[in-house]
Amino acid sequence: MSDVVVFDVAHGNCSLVRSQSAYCVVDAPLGALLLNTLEDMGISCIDVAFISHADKDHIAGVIGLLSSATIQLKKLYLNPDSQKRTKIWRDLLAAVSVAERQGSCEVISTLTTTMPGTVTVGDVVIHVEAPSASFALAGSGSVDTQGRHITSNSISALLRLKQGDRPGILLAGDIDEVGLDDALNYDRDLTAQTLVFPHHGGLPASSDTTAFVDKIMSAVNPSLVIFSNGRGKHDNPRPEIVSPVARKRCAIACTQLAGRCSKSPIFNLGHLEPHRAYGQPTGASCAGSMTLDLAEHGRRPASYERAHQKFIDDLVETPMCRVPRLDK
Amino acid sequence: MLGTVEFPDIEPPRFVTIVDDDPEDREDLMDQLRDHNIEPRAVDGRYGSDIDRLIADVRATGSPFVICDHRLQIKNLASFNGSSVIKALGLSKHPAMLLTMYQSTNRLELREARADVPVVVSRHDFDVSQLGTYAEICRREFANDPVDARRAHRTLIGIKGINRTYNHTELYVTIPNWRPDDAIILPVACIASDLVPQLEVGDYLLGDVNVGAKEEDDLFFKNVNEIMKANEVTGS
Repeated sequence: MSDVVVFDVAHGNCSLVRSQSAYCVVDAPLGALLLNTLEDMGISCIDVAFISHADKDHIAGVIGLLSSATIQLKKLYLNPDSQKRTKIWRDLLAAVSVAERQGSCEVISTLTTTMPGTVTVGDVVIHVEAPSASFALAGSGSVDTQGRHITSNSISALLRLKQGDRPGILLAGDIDEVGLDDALNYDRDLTAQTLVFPHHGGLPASSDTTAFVDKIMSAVNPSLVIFSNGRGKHDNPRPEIVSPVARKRCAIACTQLAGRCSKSPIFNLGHLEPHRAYGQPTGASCAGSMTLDLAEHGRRPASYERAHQKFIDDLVETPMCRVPRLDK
Repeated sequence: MLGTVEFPDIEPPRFVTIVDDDPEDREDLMDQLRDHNIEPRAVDGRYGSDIDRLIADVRATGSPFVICDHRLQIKNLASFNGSSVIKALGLSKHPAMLLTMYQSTNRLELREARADVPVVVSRHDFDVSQLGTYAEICRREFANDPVDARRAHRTLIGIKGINRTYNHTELYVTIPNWRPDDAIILPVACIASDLVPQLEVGDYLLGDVNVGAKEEDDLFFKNVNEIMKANEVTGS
């Protein structure tokens, strides 16, 4: 069995890949949700972790993983970010120093299409589809070939998870149009059954939001789009993003209930999967934490998918994900 | 404090013992319990420093749950604090919660004791309907299966500020995987004593912290016994 759990971590991203007793973590924000979940699953060793880019809502939980006494992290991939002068980046450096001092974790400061290129976790092959080596070397603070600013978001790693030849899952970090173009310029294959949409469904740096959505949706061609959002945080996912995604006729699942979808929290939780979900105790979860079965092309189990759709139909006042039906 | 939906259907205990030095506050609590058909039992002697006798009297009431006020000295019930009572009861796995005014003077005192006090609720926020939840939090802790907000994880603690006077050291720290932008005061009593003189701003400590805590007052610190000096961190 190989699957990916996309956790409801509020604002941020965190995914756990499980395959043949091997485990991989991609990003983790603040709090104890990941550590508590791993302990309860009886996972004492993470074979590999990735930090997509150097933002707090993607790295703070990895700091906890690096310092954990109960869970060993064997290998960590990340890109350096010379522009980062943030406190959390220094905290990460301290955690890496702790891990190096203990000899417990191999830290590899390159995460590009050529190095490592691909990483295998059990039966799952993780393809790094962006950034390219040259783009990463230019780094945040520089400009791309079109003179556009490269930011920390631009150099987000795009990770495509596959089992065999099946289209799998694309974890997009916070990638923006500049970073996406880097992947597309190199003809990277971004097709996936499920796309975890970049930047939590927040507005990209480019001025033309619709063009960005069209570009990533055309490149990935997903059947399911997941927004890993925090209720009440930056108004994510933004309607300017959700509407064009919904018009593509693919399914949409948000980890948390956007304020635009329901003014009040909803405490009917029967549809949630039995994984921790940060929004559960406060009625903020929509889909909550989601399992994607890689043997089933990266789809959610049908029973949970149906239960989530029923939850939206029955209880959510103004669901943004239902826009296409209203347009008919 | 925990979200109330974590344990939605837990029955409250039928009998509850109250330890409170103030007769008016004690009576008010007892009334609240009676309103919810819970039988209150009070312990209100004079105990001085004899905590063992107080614990014995609490046990003699036979209640499965205890509510203890933090300040027991004002009306001379005891010379020790309620947190000591909770800790002593915890040694024999007797569920108990602490009621407090959360005045600034006892906030740091409580942080020192918080690892041994599973439930602290301000008098203002006390809710009788949550007694079953409070008891469950204690039960889980005694079963070595603490609720998420009480699970300790080895974590970095960043030293952001130090105030040293001739007999006192105050540390301002951040916890990167809790709230990296919120500096809080870490009582030096929570740190291995040999580390305190070495500490400088920019250093990191390693300790066990319940990083799932929702609020600052719910944090506890244990086994803070490793240091990473600032000059060991690249980029400092």
